[in-house]
Amino acid sequence: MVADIRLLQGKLIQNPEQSSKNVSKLIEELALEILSEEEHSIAAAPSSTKPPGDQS
Amino acid sequence: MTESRTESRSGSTVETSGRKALAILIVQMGGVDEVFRSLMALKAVKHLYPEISIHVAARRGASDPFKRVEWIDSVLETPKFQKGEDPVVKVALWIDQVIHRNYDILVNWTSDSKCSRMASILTSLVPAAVKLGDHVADDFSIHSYDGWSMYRHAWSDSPVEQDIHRTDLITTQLLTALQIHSGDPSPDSGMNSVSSKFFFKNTNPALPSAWLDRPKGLKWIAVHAGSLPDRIGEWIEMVLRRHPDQGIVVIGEGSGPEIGASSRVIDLREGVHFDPMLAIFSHCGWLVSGDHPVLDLASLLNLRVFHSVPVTNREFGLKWTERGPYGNGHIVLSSKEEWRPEIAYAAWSFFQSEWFHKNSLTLHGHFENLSLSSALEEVQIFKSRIRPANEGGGVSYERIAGAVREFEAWMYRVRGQIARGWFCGWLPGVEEEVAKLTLSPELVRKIRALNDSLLVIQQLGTQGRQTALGLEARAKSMKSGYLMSVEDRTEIEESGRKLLEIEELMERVTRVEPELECMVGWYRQVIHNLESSSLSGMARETADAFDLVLEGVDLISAYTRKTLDLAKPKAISLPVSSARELDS
Repeated sequence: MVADIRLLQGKLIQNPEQSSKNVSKLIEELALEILSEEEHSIAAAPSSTKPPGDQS
Repeated sequence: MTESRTESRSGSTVETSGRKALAILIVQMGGVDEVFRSLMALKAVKHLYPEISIHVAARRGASDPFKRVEWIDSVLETPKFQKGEDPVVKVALWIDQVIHRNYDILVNWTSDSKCSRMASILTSLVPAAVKLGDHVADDFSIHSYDGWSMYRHAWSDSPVEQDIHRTDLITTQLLTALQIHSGDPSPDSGMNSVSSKFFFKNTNPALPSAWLDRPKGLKWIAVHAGSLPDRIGEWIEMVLRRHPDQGIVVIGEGSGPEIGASSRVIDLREGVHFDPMLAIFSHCGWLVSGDHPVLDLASLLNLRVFHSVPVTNREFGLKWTERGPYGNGHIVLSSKEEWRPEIAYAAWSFFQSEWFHKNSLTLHGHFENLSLSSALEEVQIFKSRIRPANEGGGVSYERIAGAVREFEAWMYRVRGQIARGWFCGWLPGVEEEVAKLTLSPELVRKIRALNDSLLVIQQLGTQGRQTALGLEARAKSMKSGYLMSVEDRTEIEESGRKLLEIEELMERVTRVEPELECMVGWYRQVIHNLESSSLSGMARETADAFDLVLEGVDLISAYTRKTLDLAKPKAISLPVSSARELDS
């Protein structure tokens, strides 16, 4: 009953060195995501309320 | 055995004992709870495949625990932006650091919805030979590369209750990929315990003076007050009054509930950082906590947890089990409506004194001694254990006492077994599992109703599969995917309409029997992730999705059949003397 091996092995990337499509757009979006996440964490967790392990 | 050492694609990996030593990048952009669970999974994987090198990409601010373990080869943190800097250029340079590393396997383990897009973009951008987890597809929507990630979206991220812990899910996902791409693990490896109080490197941190000046000779309980109900102060008073050998160290951010002053209480709620926290935990016998990442940290450190599940709208829901304390012997208290300190105390004190009464006292007896036996109806009390491999493996939570929710617990278990069947090829011994059930008229009634809906889903799934296969055959027979006869077009449109109709009918069934929503959720998830760009390929994948639904339905049917068989009245053979008496 085991599922098709394709579901378990992950995606085999034919040319890993070749960058994915939309690289510049993805980098732009990633920069925005990191920036907004950083702002969100600063707003949500002042230094006295950090969970263990969070030492930013 | 001769060891061959060769350089692989990444240049940093070697072959040891005939197995490829792969370089793996874990993308974990979630919070510290996910970081701790990832560490638990990675340690287990490292035991089985000691030759792999593990690299991690993590969010600055949550990445610290990764840097405190020796067996993580590198940690890539999200960049910190300075004023006036162009964030796009900074991120491009940051990505550039890993662009030529050529990882063998990249796995995105981020499930935190706030950071999942960020992690998916990174997964798309960083090159690797094999990728698992979520990524951003060419149309900018988030897709999953593998079955376990689809499963997480369909069941674990939804209200569907199933019995596979998040840690087990990611561990199995990576182990399966390694087995396929690297080979079987050594049979004698992986026997060591994963959790340990020495999990992290010792940094000899400066400790709070209140802790350094603590009274000597006490056993300590860490109480994470911030994640517990306000009445935790009363629980602490009960412990102090009845256990003179115990001290309490209160942790957890924020002000929280008021806790009475005592020389045996150390209040560290002003904030303790990671390293001092590790040192303090190494002196504690228990962590008492609500829903908080500290629970995952305690699991890693093999610190016993007494976990109070926050009360939710779903009475005695089991969703907490996906993120509950991991390992053997943790205790979980789930309350129906209100968290009561005397019940929490009764439950904790029973397990605290387990070693003394050595099963001569039951939990019911203990509650009775405290005049609380009726209170057991308001709660459920669980004990965690690591299941042996022949029972499916992973952590499970055994209900020790409290309210019974037989049908929901039955479905919860069956769903986990379906996933084990789908992805591990492991099938449970249905008869033995069903034999453990306590049958009640209510359970039998619900299972009968479920059985009726199952038959409908089975018929729809079979029709859907046939329709998809017919569509595949038709698409394959066409010379071009774009040019087709009017007859072909009509037939393709008709098949498409029929598939949509079948989906709609399956959804209608789940409105009558919500417990089967899991099947439709799974089907939708697979369809969302169709990979092929050709009509015949998509039709084939749709048929495969129906196949998995049908296999899941078959397994539920096996359970319903066995359970209903067990509920059937059976003729019993009476002793001869009794039979004569009846005759006369």
